[in-house]
Amino acid sequence: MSAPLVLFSFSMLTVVLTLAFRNDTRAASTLASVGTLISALFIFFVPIDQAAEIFGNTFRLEPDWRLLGRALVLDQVTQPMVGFLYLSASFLLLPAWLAGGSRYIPALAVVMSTAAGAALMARPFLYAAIFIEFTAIVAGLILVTRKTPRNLGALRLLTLYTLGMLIILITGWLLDQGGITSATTGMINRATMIMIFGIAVLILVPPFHIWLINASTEANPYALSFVVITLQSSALFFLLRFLDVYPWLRENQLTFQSIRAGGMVCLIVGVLFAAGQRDLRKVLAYMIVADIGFALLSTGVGTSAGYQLALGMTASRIVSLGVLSLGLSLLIEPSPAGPIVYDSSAGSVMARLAVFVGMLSISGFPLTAGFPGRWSLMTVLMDSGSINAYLGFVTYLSLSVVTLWWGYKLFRGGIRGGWMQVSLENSFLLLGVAVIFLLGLFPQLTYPWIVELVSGLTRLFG
Amino acid sequence: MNGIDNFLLDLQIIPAVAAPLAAASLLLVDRKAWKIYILAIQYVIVAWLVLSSLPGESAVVKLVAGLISTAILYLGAGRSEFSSLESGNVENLPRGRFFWLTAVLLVVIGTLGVSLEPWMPIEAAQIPVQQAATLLVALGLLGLGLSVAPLQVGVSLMTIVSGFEIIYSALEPSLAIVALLALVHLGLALVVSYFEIIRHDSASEESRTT
Repeated sequence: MSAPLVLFSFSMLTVVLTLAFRNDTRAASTLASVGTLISALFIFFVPIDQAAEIFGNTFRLEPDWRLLGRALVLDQVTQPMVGFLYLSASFLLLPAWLAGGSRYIPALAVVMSTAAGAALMARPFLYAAIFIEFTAIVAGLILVTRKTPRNLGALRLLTLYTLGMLIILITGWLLDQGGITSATTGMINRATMIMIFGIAVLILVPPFHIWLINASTEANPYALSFVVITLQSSALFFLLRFLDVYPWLRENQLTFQSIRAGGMVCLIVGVLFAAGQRDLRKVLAYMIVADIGFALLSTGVGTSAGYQLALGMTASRIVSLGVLSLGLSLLIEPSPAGPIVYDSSAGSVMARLAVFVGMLSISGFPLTAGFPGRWSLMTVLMDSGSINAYLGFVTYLSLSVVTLWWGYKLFRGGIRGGWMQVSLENSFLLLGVAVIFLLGLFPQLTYPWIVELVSGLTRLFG
Repeated sequence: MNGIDNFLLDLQIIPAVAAPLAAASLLLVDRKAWKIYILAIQYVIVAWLVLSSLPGESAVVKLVAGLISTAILYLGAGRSEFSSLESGNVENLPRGRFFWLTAVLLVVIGTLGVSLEPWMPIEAAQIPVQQAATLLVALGLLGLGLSVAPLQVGVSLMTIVSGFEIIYSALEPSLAIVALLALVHLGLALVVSYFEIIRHDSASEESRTT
C-alpha cells in the first residue's frame, strides 16, 4: 500500500465528515482538527518503506504513489515538512469555529493542507508549482464567503500564484534541458534570477504582497491567517528544497544576495506601511510582510543556522498569527465591512489582549514566541556587521514601537468589570496567549523539533 | 499519427491566426455570455494548436477539460444574470471600447514585433504556433491588467495558461502535465464561478435591503 495514497484517502474522509457536520461549525472544526492531527501522527510515527506488524499481520507502506508516470513521494525528506503542515492545520482548526467564518472553511482548510502537502511530495518536485496553484485556488474559496463577499484580494492571489506557477515551470524546464552545470555561469545566473522571481511571487515579496493587503480588509482575519500560514510555509519549504537539490544554486552568491534583498524590501515596506495605517487589519497584513522579511533575511544568511532560524520563525508565526487573528475576528465580527473602533469598550477585553500579545509576538518582543528567533537573527546579522544588520535592527525596533502604539489604542477605552467571565471563547484566547509566553520563555521546547523538520535535506544541512 | 491529425496539422496556420483573434475578442466583448462562447471556441483552437507537439488523445483531453471549464463558467455566470455586462469592483478602470481596441492593437503589434525571431529554440512548434501562443499570453496579461471583474480575470488567466500550454507541451510532452494543467483550468473556472455567484447573491441582498 502507498503511504501518500493512505494520507490522501484519510484526508478526503476527513473532508467528507467535516462537510457532513457543516451546519454545526464547532463539530466541523473539531473533526477537521482531529483529522489533520491523525494525519500528522501518521506521517511522523508510522514506519514508511519498512516492514511493520499490526495484530500479527505484516505490512509495508510504500513511500511513493505513482500517477501518469509521475509520483508523490512521502520519504524522509518530505515526511517532516508535510507533517508540519498538517500539524499547523490541526492547531489552527481547533478554535476555527469561534472566528465566525463560513461553515465550509474547516473542510476547505483540510483540502488546502492536502494540496500543500502534495506540493511538497511531488516528484519531479518542480511540479510542486502546480500543486501550490491548487492550494491558491482553494485559498480563494476560503477567503470569499457569503459573509465576506468582496473578492479583489482573492482574485489577485489567484492571478499572482498562476503567474508564479508558470514562471517556476519554465525554470524547471531550463534546469532540466538547459544543461546547467557549475561551469555555465551565465546560464546559472539567468536561471537563478527567473527562479528567484517565481519564488518571490509565492513568498509575498513586495509588490507581490498586494493581495494580502486587499484580503486583509475583505476576508475573515482567521481564514486569512490560515491561508497565509499554509502558503508561506509551503513556499519556504519549496525554497529550501530548491537550495537542497541544486548545488549550483546554493553555491551562487547571487541567490543569497537576492534572498536578502527580498527580505530587506519586505522589512522596509512592511514597517513603513504598518506605521502609516489606521485600520488594524492592514497593520496586521504589513506586519506579516515584515515578518516574512525577517525569515528571508535568515535564509539569505546561507548557513544551516540561518535556515533553522527561518523555520523557527515560521513555526512561531503560526502561534502568534493564530492567536492574533482569532482575537481580531472576535473584535470585528459586529461590523466586518468597516474599520474597527478601538477606543470603545465594545470588544471583549480578552480578544483585545489576544490581539495585542499576538502583535507583540510577531514584532519579536521579549518573552514572546517571536523573540528567540528574532534575537538570534539579530545576533547573527550583527556579527556580520553588514548594512542588513543595522537596517534589520532599526525595523525590529520600529515594529515594536508600532505594536506598543496599537496596544495603547486597543486599551485606551479602559476595561469594564466582569471581563474575566469563564467562557470557551475566553479559555481558547487565554490558552493561546499562554502558549505564546510559554514558547517565548522556553524556546528549547520547539526549536530542536524545528531542526528535525528539515533533517531530510541532507545536502543543505549535512 | 492518424489521417485526421495530419490533416489538422497541415492547416495549423488557421488556428495560429484564429487564436489571437479569439483572445482579442474576449477583451473587446462586454456580454458575459459571448465571452464564454468565445472562450469555448478558443479552447477548440488551442487543442488544434497543441496537436503539433502532443498526441491526438492528449489534445482531446485538453479540449474536454476546456469545454467543461467553460460549462462551469456558464453555470456561474448564468446565476449572476447572464445577459448583464461585465463590471468590476473598481470603477476607475478604463472601460471605453475605443481604449480597449487601441490597447489590443498595441499589444498585438508589439508582441508580433518581438516574436518575429523565435525566442526559444523549440523544434516541435512552428513559428506561427509560437507567435500565437505568445499573443495569447500577452493578450491575457492585458486583460488582467485592465480589469478586476472576476469573469474577465478568470478568462484572462485561462487564456494565459492556454498560451503557456501550447509552448510548454512542446517542451515537456508528459501526460502528467497535461492532466495537472487541465485540473488548473477546471479549478480556475470553479473559483471564478463561485466568485460570480457570491457577488450576485450579495448584490441581490443589498438591493433587497435598500
